[in-house]
Amino acid sequence: MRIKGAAAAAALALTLAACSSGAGETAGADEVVIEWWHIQTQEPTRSVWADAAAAFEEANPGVRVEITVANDPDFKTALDARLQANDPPDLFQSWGGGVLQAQVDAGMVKDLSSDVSGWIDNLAPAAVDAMKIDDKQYAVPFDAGLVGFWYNTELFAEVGVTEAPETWDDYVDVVAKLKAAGITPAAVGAGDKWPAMFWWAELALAAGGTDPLDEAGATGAFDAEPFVEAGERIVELVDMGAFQEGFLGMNYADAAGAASMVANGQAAMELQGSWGPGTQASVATNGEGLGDKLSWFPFPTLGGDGGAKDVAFGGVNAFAVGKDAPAETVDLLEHLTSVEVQSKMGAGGQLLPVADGAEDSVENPHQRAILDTFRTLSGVQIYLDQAYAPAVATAINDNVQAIFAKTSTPQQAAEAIAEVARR
Amino acid sequence: MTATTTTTAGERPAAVDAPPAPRRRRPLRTVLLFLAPGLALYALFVIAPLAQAIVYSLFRWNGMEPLTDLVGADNYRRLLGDASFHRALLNNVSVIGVSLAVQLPMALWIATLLNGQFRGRGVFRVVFFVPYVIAEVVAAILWKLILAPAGQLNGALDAVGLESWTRSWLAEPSLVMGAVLVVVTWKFFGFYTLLFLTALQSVPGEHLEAGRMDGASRAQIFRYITFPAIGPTARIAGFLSIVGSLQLFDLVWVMTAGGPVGASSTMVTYMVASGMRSYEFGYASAVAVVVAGLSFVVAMLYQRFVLARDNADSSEGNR
Repeated sequence: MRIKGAAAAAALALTLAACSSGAGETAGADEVVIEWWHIQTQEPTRSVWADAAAAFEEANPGVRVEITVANDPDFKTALDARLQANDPPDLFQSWGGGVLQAQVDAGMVKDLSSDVSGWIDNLAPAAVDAMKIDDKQYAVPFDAGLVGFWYNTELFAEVGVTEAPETWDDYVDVVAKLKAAGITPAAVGAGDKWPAMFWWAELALAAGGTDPLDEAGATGAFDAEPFVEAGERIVELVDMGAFQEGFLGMNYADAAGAASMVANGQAAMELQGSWGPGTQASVATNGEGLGDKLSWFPFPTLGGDGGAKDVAFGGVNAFAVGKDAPAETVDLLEHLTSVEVQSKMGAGGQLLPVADGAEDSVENPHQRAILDTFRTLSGVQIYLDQAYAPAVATAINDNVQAIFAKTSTPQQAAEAIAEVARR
Repeated sequence: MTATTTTTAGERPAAVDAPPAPRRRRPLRTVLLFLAPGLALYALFVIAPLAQAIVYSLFRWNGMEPLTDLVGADNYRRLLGDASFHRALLNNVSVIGVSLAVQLPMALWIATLLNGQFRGRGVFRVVFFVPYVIAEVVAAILWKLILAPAGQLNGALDAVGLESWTRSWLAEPSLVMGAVLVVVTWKFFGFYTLLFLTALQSVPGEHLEAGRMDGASRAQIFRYITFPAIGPTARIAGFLSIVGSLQLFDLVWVMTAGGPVGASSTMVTYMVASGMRSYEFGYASAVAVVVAGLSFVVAMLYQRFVLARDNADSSEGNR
């Protein structure tokens, strides 16, 4: 008996390990299950998605939507495991760019071009365009945003600045005035790296437009002039003391992080995405943030020719469809990007709807302004750490942090990124 | 109790009289059966992943595509010339150095103090052990707040008039590793204190008494009686702290994520960054294999040269 017991234990251990990957796939014979992975862990958007799925199930008897919600890093880890097992979820979060490209190359996602052609034109063109690879639609956007300066109008007024700066010279002037008045001009969560990357990307875009960024994506030419110039402008700001003390070790959304400094009036501005006010409110000591004192202006121009202004720096959230997804998944996608669901999402105050007709749901005037700007754009330069292959993205984030730390010169950093991109 | 007849070293009186017959009568089949569950788990969770990592490390692979881009030893060559990895390795070595040169002696010293008779001894024993009990992630967040620019450490320095000493401890590349070393020492010395305390309590009182009768000084008693008696424990402590240092991850990952600019990275944080952030799973696997290989070599050398006398018959090991 004992011998049998030992053998059984060993067998059990093996079975446990083996069956953990196959769980959760059992369904009734004629029931269609759509496995949907999203990253909206916070309310109210989390419930908006859950309600949308429930409504879809009701309208489509025999279809069950199985939702898995995970935060961003957990989602990525879990998705990697499923992709490695050749078993992608049916519907899942995508940011387009290099990762989507890799998923396309690996044959993990569906080409949706013909399935969505009837209704996708109702979504903002810049967002739709960002989810195309080789002119094929591989994901459908549900949210879009732009990066710009969130600033404290009261602190700006204290140093006599009532109009947002439009050129780089004006901007540097504002920074100098704030600094002279003993106010921390800008907070950046450079410990997280990507908030620092925003500065480099905006400056490179302002210096050379989108061409060098596209070119670098294709050939690895991250050592081109606009990238070096972007680094030099950052060094200029660091030398002025434009950033808060200890910015290299500070995270963006921590309890005492960069966002909280703006939210609590300890820094005058931050360069962040459309989610800025929401994050500030979540880490503000008063629980709300700056309220009416908070305002927004787009990244200033560098004078000269500058970049094309119908292209801006921002990001798009979308859903991609796994290779083996049931046909009903596309119907669910259509439902999620309908004016009705998009309006509920917009009213939640966290995400900006991309469907035509849902824009009135956005109540915050600044977020509304961002959305209106976005809807006029022909293209969007998505966040560099999502636009390029992950290895290049990491090299950009690491080396831009080194520029902020002044452990690399702008030239060295640009060359180091180019070296990785050409590998 | 024939099952335990495989005598451990030092049980000589029992071993001398024990008839050899029962030991031989353990059929190989039964032994294998009892070993099977353990072996299966070990194979599944240690050997198989390691073998997998070795295979992956020979490819250039983003974790999604099929394994097709065989690059041979390229990942290892890249590792040899990778300044970021060298930095991480150096940081691991400095953790080992501080563990052996500061943490263990400190733990031994505190254990010696706690071994004496004084009021409130139990309280002190608990206090020193608390850091070890706290979860690593919690400890890391705690220290992150303390060491922040507006954190408690700078606040304390301000309060005592040392404003000029305040720093952004985790934000300056030249300071961050020092800060990490302090936190690592704080986090783990309690464990070694406990280990030494247990060893000290097993030092026979009559030996100490005999030493005192012969007129040995306290230093001499420690040098010639106590220390040799706790030698095996000290050597095991050294082993644990070397292996622990090579694998250091959680504390650093949460506190600094290896930054800024890689100044506080360890081999394992570098591996995770290469894999999960850069999607260079082939390269990250090469890092993993090197970490495993290094740990293995260090463990073997330590076994061979330091633990050898503990593994051999220890009846006269207290030299």
